[in-house]
Amino acid sequence: MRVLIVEDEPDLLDYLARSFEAEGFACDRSADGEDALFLGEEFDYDLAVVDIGLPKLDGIQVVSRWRKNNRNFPVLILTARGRWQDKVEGLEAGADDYVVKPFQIEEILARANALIRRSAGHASPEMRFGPIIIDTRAKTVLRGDQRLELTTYEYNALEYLTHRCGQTVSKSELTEHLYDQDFDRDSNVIEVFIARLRKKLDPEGSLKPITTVRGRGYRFDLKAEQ
Amino acid sequence: MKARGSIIRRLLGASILTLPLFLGITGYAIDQAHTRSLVAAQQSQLQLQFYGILGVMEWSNTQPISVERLREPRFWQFRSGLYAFIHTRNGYLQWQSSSANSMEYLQEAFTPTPAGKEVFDEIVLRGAPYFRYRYHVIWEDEHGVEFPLIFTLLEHQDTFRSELLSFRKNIALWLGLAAVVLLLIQVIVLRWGLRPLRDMSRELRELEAGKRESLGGIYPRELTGVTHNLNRLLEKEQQQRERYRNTLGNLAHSLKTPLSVMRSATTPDTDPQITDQLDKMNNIIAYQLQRAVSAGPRRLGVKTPLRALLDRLCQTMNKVYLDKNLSFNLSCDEQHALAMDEQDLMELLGNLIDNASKAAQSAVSIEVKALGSASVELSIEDDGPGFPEDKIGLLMERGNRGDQYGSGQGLGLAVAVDILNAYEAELSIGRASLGGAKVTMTLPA
Repeated sequence: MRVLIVEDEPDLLDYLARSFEAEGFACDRSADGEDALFLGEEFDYDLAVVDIGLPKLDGIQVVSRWRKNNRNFPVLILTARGRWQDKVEGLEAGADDYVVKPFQIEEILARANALIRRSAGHASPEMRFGPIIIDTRAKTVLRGDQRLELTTYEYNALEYLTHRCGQTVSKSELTEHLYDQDFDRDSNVIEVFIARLRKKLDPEGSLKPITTVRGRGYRFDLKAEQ
Repeated sequence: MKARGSIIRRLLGASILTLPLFLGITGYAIDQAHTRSLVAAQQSQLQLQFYGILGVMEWSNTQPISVERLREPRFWQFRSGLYAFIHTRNGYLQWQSSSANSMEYLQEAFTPTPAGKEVFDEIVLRGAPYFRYRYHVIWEDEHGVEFPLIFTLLEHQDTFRSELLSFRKNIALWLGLAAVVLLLIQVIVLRWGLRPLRDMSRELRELEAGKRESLGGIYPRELTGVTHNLNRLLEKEQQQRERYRNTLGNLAHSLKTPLSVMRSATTPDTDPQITDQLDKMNNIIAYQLQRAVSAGPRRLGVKTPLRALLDRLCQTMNKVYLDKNLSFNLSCDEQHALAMDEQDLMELLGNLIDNASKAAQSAVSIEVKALGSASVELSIEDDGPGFPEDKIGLLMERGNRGDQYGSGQGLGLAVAVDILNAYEAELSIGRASLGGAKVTMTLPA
């Protein structure tokens, strides 16, 4: 999952980015409103965490302009003032949730995961695809009763594909959402992940959860159960 | 504060008091002038009658005076009101007009007068008023002997008095009419002249009722100073309020961001005393800033429409608590508006509806009822576990939590109570019909 973190205080920006990266997110960082606006319009993020009090362009305006330009990724706003006026304005501008500073990082991560899941149309943090059960809070995957040992990147690739089940996801899109901007996009590491995931999810080859769409990418074919 | 009468009444009162005085003086002056001219007319009339008598009088040493050819018929009519006498200097009657026959008492009117001088005056005989004209004539016969004769003419004042009375009635009627017309004109002029004040008073009432933000009318020069200054005062107060809020917002931002950084530097191995102190600092900052931001009651300015604000807050809560799939039942008429600052109201209701949404299982109910024209009862209910009854008093103090759901700082209810205290409004906590907590407030409308 690729996340944009926008915060003008360098220490806090670094802390947030490191915390998200530690959870397996690919993070882009921004320290002012104009830069954040550009990044949000240029790249397709799975989530943006935006501080309201930003230099150049305030957070509410950034979110509002993203929404006007049909950038519909979920946005979590951070507010220091804690006033309801700010929270309501932020949410009316298009943000999806808020956290008041100073925060517990666990709260931000939990809300970030919930927003990503919600944006993919999953109401519950536990997603079931036949025998495969994904717990987005614990970031664990079960096949039947058996817990699968996935690396962070494997898990993230699987979660991204399941959030778009039935849709073809290109290799470059997958790369963008799993790695930050500096990653070498030509490497064939995605193919390796997908091959490993197929093996772990479907060792007998009977389930066929991930289909390769020739020349276009991959598609998660199992349907989510409510 | 008790109003000290009305300006129109004062001015009209003053007019009602002064108008009769001026009209009285005017009436008196006209009456005096008219009376004088009537008396002068009487004098010249009697003078003419005197010349008439003198012209037709026949006299000789041997014959008594004869005045046979007098034209004025009233001298011949008995008791006609016009009488003439001719006396010698010693008061011996030489001739009297037929009209004075058997009215001997009229001769009391005779008094000697200096020769060649005409005298005109008034006299009362037997209770009746008369004009009296006298002339002392020195008559000379053919032998050059002088005979002094005194002519006395009397005219009863009946006609004169009735004419004067009728004139006085007329003048009183016209002056009375003039007074009424003047008063009416004054009422109209006053109402027209004081209209800007009435407009200003109406606009001030609207301002107080929260229907307008400033005085917007076009006022005459004398009032623009007041209206302009009042508008500036209102604008300045609003700007100051905004500046104060922004400064506090910036202060919050500059205090809380370093606190976030400090918290980010803590690890599970960090001394719990440090994390506790960080939490305390955060709570103190959050609580005191929220308190300081409250604007408190306002007497002037636009009221805050309640329905729109509740709609915004419910939509916000719906977004924040999307996973809970809460239903918000809102019962509030469009016309409800509160005499509270919008941000204070949003802070108050935001905290309370957020508390209710956190506690609720599936439903939050908000009901607004008018209590007369000056206040509104607003209640927020949820179907959560409700407040433990033995802890209700403690809940209103900051930092005391009534929940087990963890998020937030336990400030919501305490901040709400502080805002309500600033507006001298009340809050009570009880059990909701939905099963959870019910918070009820009486707010100024």
